Amino acid sequence: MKDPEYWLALAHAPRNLGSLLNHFGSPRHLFEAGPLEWRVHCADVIKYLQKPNWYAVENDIQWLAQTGNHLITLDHSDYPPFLREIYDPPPVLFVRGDTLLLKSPQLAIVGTRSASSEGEWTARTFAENLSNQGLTITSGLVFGIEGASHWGALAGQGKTIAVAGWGLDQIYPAEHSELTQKIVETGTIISELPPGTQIKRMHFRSRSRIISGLSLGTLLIEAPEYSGALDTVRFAIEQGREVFVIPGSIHNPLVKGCHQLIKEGAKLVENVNDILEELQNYHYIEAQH
Amino acid sequence: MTSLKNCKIITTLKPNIEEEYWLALTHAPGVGPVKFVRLLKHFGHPRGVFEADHDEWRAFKMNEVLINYLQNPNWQIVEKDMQWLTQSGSHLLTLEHPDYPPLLREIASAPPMLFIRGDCALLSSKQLAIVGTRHPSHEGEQTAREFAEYLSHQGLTITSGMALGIDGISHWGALRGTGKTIAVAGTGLDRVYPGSHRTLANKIAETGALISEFPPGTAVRRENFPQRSRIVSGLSLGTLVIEAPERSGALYAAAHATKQKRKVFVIPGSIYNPLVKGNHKLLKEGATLIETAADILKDLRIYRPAPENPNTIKTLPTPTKNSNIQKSKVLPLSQEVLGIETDEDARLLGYLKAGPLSIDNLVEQSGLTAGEISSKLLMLELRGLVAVQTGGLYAHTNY
Repeated sequence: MKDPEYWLALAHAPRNLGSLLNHFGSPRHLFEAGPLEWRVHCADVIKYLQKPNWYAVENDIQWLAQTGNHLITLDHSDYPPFLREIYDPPPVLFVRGDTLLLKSPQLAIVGTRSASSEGEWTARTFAENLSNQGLTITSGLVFGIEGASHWGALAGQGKTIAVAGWGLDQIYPAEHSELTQKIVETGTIISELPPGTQIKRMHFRSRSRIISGLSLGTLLIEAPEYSGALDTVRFAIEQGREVFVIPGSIHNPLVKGCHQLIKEGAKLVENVNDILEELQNYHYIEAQH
Repeated sequence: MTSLKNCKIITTLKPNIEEEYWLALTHAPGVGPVKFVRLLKHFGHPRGVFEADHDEWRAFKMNEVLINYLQNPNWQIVEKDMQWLTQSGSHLLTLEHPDYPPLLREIASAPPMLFIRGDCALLSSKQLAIVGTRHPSHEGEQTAREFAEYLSHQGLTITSGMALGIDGISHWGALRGTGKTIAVAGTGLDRVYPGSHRTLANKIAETGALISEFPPGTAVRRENFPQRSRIVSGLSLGTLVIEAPERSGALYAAAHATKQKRKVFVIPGSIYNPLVKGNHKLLKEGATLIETAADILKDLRIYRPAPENPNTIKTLPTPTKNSNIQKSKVLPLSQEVLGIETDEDARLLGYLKAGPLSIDNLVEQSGLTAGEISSKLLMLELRGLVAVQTGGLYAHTNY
């Protein structure tokens, strides 16, 4: 990877500048292009391009020096190919754990943070079974369905990817420090946000596009109306990925969002085979066996 | 050749003599709905079948048994049918009668004749079939009852098969509504099956209709029940499936509805509930998922003017004496949608009135878990009651 400091400077920009790379060729060329070029192509971020946050970049480089921490840039061969296909792929990924896992066939499992025990049980058993079938389970590490999915995958083959909506030097939620530790051992935690980034609402939504973007499909387990988990599913639809939904009782408000999606045409799923049958079309899974 | 028949015409002098031929042909051995219609097409009308000569019968490739019958129809049994029809409230509709339900006439094997107890006109009303297992869960029963009652109030006639379980409960639900309900029996209408549904049958006959394609006297026969399903779905704009396990008889009705190009509406359930395995199978095959009765009205494009009683909310079932507790369950308008806070939401807002707080502060004060609070705050945020400040603090927007 050339010029990691320029890639890192990209990560600290006020918005995703990945789309500019096509024009400028590389982050270095972008930063060195000068105000004339900037005014034409990216007038909104001139201030930042003039004065990139080199201090923060220095911190990033220190974080990257620790064992197990990696940086994967958009032009790198380890960059997950499925994620590269999406509309606005993150230019850099901060990674803790096994970088190769990012290229494995993945299924995202998402759902509400305030899941019922039945919902968490479903997440755990589906994740464990699918993990044993060779799929990597990708999710977002927060409470409820997401945490349960990671635990399920750890009980299976252990291959699981957590996409954090915060800098990887922090642990969130605090109760998940043990889970985080376990994921780093056999799986991977990634973030598009540089170390030191605090938890912010806006990051949760943009994190969702990475969860769905990494995966062949997204499985939704328990999402009430307006659940944040529905963001991930909407992204999956936009990205042309499969959407799987577990139904529930019409008297259960926790599955309102699930039912809405089935009405819109998402696939109803009762068991693991329903998912595997659908994903058989993707040769990635066969390659695993 | 037909002396007995002629004798009958002379002796009884009934104006509805054609009906007797229809009945006589129904009792003919080996003549089901499909063959009946073929005979009608070929000979013009039932009397034509009986009055044709031997060569014409032969030309139609009839077997000896049938020819024998046509030569000596069982007028005794027809007489019994006619007697049954003299009872008040009993009717007979032939396929060619203008009152024959138009949707049913469209199906592939429309019954040539319908025996009816009750309101004939109801057969041509807009109908929704509700079907399901004979052994439903408590939740399934409640759903059937409340959908039937509510949709009945919305102007739909509820049609079902009067079997135990979901069928019977749907009829009861409709009776609690406007009373307009049609029960398609698998036996002759002179008997009630199952016997425990005698009261139900009588109630249906009062404000709805009991119908059967089988003449009075037809006993309970297992093979007649799946056949009856095609009439249940065939009469209806759509069929709603509530709790159907794998290989449930209710799936016959759904299969018929699909074949008849009618809507199949399905209520989903937990993947751990074996009673809804059939439901999920139908949903995977493309049936329409139904959460509330309003979904069905929307799909069928049935719009009703605002209810007469201004106190009833449009999407809630009209309350009756016994349904007050249950009605809120069947069609729950989520509190978030109505803009009503839950107690816990109100508590959280209360804490925030004192000033912006972090989730951790709120955990300490409320005793809820961070997960619960986080999702509640998200809800409140979406409703504009809470705003997130820098540093991850939450603030009440009005303070």
